[in-house]
Amino acid sequence: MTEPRPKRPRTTPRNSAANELELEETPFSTLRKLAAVAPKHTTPQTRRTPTAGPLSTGRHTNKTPQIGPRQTARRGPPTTPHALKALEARRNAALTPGRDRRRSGRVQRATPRDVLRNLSRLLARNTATIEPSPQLHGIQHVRSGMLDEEDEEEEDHPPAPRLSMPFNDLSDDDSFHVKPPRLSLALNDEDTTTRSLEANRRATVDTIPRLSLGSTRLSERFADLNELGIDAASILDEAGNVTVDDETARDLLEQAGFDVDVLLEEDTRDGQAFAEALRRGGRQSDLGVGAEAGQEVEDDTFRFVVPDRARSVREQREAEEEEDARAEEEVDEEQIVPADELDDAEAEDELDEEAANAEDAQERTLREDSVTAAERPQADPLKPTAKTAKRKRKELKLSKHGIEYPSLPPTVVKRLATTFLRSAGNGNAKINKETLDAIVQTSDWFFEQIGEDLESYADHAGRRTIDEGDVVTLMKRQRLLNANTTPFSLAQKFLPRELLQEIRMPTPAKSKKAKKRRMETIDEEESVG
Amino acid sequence: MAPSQAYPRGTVKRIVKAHTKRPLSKNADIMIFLDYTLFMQDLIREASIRSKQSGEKGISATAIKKVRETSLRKFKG
Repeated sequence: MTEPRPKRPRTTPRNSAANELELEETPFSTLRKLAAVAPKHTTPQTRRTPTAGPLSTGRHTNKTPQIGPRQTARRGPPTTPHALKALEARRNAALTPGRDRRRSGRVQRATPRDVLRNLSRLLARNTATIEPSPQLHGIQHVRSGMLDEEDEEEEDHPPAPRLSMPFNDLSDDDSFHVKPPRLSLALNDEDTTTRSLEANRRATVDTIPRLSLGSTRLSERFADLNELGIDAASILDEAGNVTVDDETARDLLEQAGFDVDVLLEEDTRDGQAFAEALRRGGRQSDLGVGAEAGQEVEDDTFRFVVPDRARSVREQREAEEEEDARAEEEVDEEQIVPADELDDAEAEDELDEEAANAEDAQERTLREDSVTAAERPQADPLKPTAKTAKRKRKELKLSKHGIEYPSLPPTVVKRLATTFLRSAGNGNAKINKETLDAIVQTSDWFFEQIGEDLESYADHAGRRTIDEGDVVTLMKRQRLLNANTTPFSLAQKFLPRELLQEIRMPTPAKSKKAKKRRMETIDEEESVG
Repeated sequence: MAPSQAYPRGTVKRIVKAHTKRPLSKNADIMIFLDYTLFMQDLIREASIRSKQSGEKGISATAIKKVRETSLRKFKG
């Protein structure tokens, strides 16, 4: 173990001295040698710790013991980008005040829950205990007013279980709007926790002997009791008959500090009386006679208002239904009439025809802007008039510019259609009048559409005239022209020969001539305008 | 395929002029009629496909009415 020393080029002065003394072989030198050798095992550790100390702070070594050794393992400044970044981060961490937080911990604290926890820590210092709301005060006052005896005792009690609340709440006239929804809870005591509110309400309403008022309606506006300013206390006292019979309810009331017997006596007396009154009134005046009964009985209870509303609602509904029925009848008539006519004209499906007519109507409404009201009846789906109009061929439509125009002669359209029909595979198919009419109408729409398009193209080009270039642009936009299909090939295919010649002839001269004419027309227009 | 008979050029010109309120150049109406021809081809083809699907013989006005909206949209520039 003494020998590896020559391997170590980095020698301390002591070591170097030992090396020098080694040659003399004195006991001192041997001892020194021993002393130099013995700590040699520990020296790396002792030497490391002081170097590790300043580089990695004590906190780091406490929390993550790996950081220290890793740090010391590196000689010289870091070169790799990761190491550089880590060094930078460590420096920043050392400079920032919150450096004691580890990165992993920081990530964890970024969760919403931790954010909330931090917030709660902040808020917990400032928040005070919640003052009892005014509702509670009112209720306590009520309690004291109702039960004359145990005022002082009740003050200390926690808010009473829900069962007891409606009793007190109801006798109060001032704060009748405090807690309407809880009224219903008092009636069913066992199930308050297990059932939902709504279920309870319905169940309680069913148990009440006032079913003659129409149970569902009543249950729906049960919460309105207080709004109407009834003597709701008596109703609930009457309900109290039901609840107080239960052992549990009695226990709860006693817990809340009521004298149950007193309560029972008072409440049952009032409640029974009122219930009887209710029953009498309710049975006399069922749903219909609400207003009269309301005038008769002195305290206007909800039941006299509710039927009124219900009746009015029902009347409204009936009226609406009547209207709907009428409208449906009208619609049916409308739809049936043309279908019948069409049946005469042609044996086709009524449904299809109706649908087509509907489409027709829609399209017509869409195109109303270009069609004036004067000639609209001629475009009606009623076929006879349209036919006669087409027969005359004198009929002129108005464009959106107010210019009259004829539709394309049906013979031409028919010829074209027949040609294409044959090429589509229907050998000797004939086109009847109706189909022809539809096609002619479609042609009109087509011309209107491309007219608008061509106009906008010419506008865009700054021209007044619409020339072939616009049409070519249009056909490109319609994807009729592409690299393989030129307008001339199409013309060769679809146009008669003389027209083809007309197109082909001016092509070489087209550009010049068109330009010239364009300029002329523009000049003319400008000089005119 | 090319039909031998011409079409009423004046009518086409009048129709397009009425819709655009613009003068037409000399041979633009021929191109317009060519476009119209292609439109008719498309319309009739679609209508015959539709009527074949519904088992009709020839094409009916119903088929035309059902098809024309898509065809017109296809030919919207």
